[in-house]
Amino acid sequence: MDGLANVDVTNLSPAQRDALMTQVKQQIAMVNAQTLIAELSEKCLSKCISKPGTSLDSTEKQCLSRCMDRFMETWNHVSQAYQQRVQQESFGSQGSGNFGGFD
Amino acid sequence: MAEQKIDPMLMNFIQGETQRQKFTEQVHNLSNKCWDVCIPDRPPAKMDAKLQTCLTNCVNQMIDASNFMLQRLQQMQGGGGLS
Repeated sequence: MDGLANVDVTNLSPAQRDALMTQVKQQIAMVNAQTLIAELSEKCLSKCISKPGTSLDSTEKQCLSRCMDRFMETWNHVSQAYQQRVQQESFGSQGSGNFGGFD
Repeated sequence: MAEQKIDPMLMNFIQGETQRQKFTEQVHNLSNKCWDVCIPDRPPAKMDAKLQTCLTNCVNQMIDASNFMLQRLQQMQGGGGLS
């Protein structure tokens, strides 16, 4: 996994190529997870923590738990809805469909 | 150029991942906006059908709005509105 930084991408062995692809996939997954966590924190802090007290009370904890669950569900639901829309736009119904850069 | 020497499998992989990432970024973007539109001040205990409908409508409306504005910009350009 290491030692790829100085590799010439125009001249990779199959093993190096596979290692590079795995590494890229892992980095993408990491960045997406970080983005999701940052968004979730921002949304749930603003929904649940309005008047910070000395410690988290049970209402705040319940709100945070619900908020996190709903946020994940929202993300998944939006992903499905968007996927469906992208598919509809790519088959027939001549919408310009440039929203996601899929033509 | 160097491009021509890149392993076709690697090239394919990069193109595929770029497309996937564009999709994922739109999902981040849409989730953020539609969360604000659809989820009430106190997050509910359950995701009900009403919320799901709101989210689906929100996604479709955002895309409709984006397409509408794109078309309108194209018309403006065609009609000499933008120069």
